Parts: sequence; structure tokens; C-alpha cells
Amino acid sequence: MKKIILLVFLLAFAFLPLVSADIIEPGYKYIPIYNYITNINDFPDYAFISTGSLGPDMCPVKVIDSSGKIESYYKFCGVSVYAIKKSELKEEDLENLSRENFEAFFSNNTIKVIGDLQTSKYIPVSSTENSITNYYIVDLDKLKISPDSKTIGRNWLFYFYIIIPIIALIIIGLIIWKRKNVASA
Amino acid sequence: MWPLLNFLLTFIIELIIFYLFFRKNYLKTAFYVLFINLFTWPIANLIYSVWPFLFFIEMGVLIIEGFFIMLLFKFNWKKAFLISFVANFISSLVGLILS
Repeated sequence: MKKIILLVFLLAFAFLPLVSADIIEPGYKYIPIYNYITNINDFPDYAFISTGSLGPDMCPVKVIDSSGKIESYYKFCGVSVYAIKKSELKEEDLENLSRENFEAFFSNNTIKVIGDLQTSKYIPVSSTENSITNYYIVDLDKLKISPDSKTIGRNWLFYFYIIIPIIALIIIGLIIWKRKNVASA
Repeated sequence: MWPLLNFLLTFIIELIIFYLFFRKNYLKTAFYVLFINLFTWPIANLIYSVWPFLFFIEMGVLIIEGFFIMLLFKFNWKKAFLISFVANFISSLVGLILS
């Protein structure tokens, strides 16, 4: 019995880092990163699928539709996008993917076009960012690991961070100006 | 809410340090320190959100605040920059410890 309890404790400690990885530190937050393929319709013979490095259970394979939007994933997925000839894509193949045949499927049938893609970001709460949208122009002969362009959505703090310093600077300037005028009078 | 608390903490720490160096005109000192911080704190945070190099940002804040202290409190540059250095060093240190 004691051995079982000890084993349970050891296992609990072994998995503790994984559990604490999901805890958000005070003063930090997650923001979404939206990812789009802008030229998906330039490849009518190809389908584009996304998946993550943790395997199909944690990071399921998703087919990217004509809007080019890459769906979001669990933060540790390490998402990649693959191109596959439509003639070689069978829905049942994707449904039957398991940990065992996962790597073989992607190394044999597909072309990796985007790697190291993130769908969320960990930032300080004082940050003005509230979302990021990345745009990728894919090329079947080239692996992209960074977006071609991005837009950053800002929250109200952005205006606070701009307007307040301007007002403060004006007031400081007025104090100095007034003091100079009094001194010269 | 967090940014406001962070700002208030920075302001209170810097004000205490100012009072250690300058023990008269308490209200006026608080007013000046408030506006100096209302200028530097939001800009520093905005820059940090896109360029997270705290050391260089703090150096910029130190120079700007030193310059404002010199003009508003009529201190010589050595005293102004010493106050700015101590105030920013301690507020950054407290911020780092709390985070």
C-alpha cells in the first residue's frame, strides 16, 4: 500500500510542471493570434491542413477552408500547415490518424508550408495589444516560419497611453513657461 | 485595473524617494512627480509592449525624468539625475520583485 502511495506521489510530482504550465502568472494574460493564408485560392489543386506537434489527440488535424483562416489550437501545439494534393486527400485518412501513423502520413503525402505558428501569446496586462492577426502568402517550394504581414489590435489602453502623456507634457510645459514669464516680469 | 495599480505603485514609490531628497512644498512636489510620471509611465509601457528591452526603456525614462526634475525643481543636473536614477531603480526593482 505504501509503495502505491509513494508511486502516486512521484507521478504527481512528475506531472506537476505540466499542470503549472497552464497557470497564468498574475499580471499576465493570453491574447489570441489569428492566422490567415491570403493566397489559398491560388492553389486549386491543393488542400491545406493544419495540425500540431503534440499529435492528433491534443492538436487535431483541421482542413483550412477557402477563407484561409487557420483555426486556433492549444497553446503548446506548435502548429504547422501542410499542403496536400486534393486527389490524395481522403476524409477517412484524416479521421483515422493516430499517434502511430501521424508522422508517416505527414512526411509521405504533404508539403509543409508554414511552421512554428502560434495561436495565442502571453503578454503583460499593461500591454495595449488585444489581438494579433498574421497573414501568410504561402509558396509550395518554401517553408514559412514568420508571417508576411501582421496587424495588431489595440485596446483602450492604447489611447490612454497616448493622450495622457500629451496632456501631462502640455501641463509641464505650461508650468515651465509660466515660471519663466514670472521670472522675466 | 492592473495598469492603474502599477501606475499608482510607481507614483507612490517615486514620491517617497522625492520626499527623501526634497523636504518642502509637499503638495507641489506630489503634483510635479505625478505629471512627470503621467508623461513617462504610459510611454514606457507602450514602448515595452512592442519592444521589450526594459533596460534601454528605463534608461530613456531616467534621462527624461532627470531633465524634467532639473527644470521643475530647479536642481542642478547632478542632483536631478541622481534622484531620477534612485527613483527609477527602486520602482523598477519593486516592479520586478512583484512580477
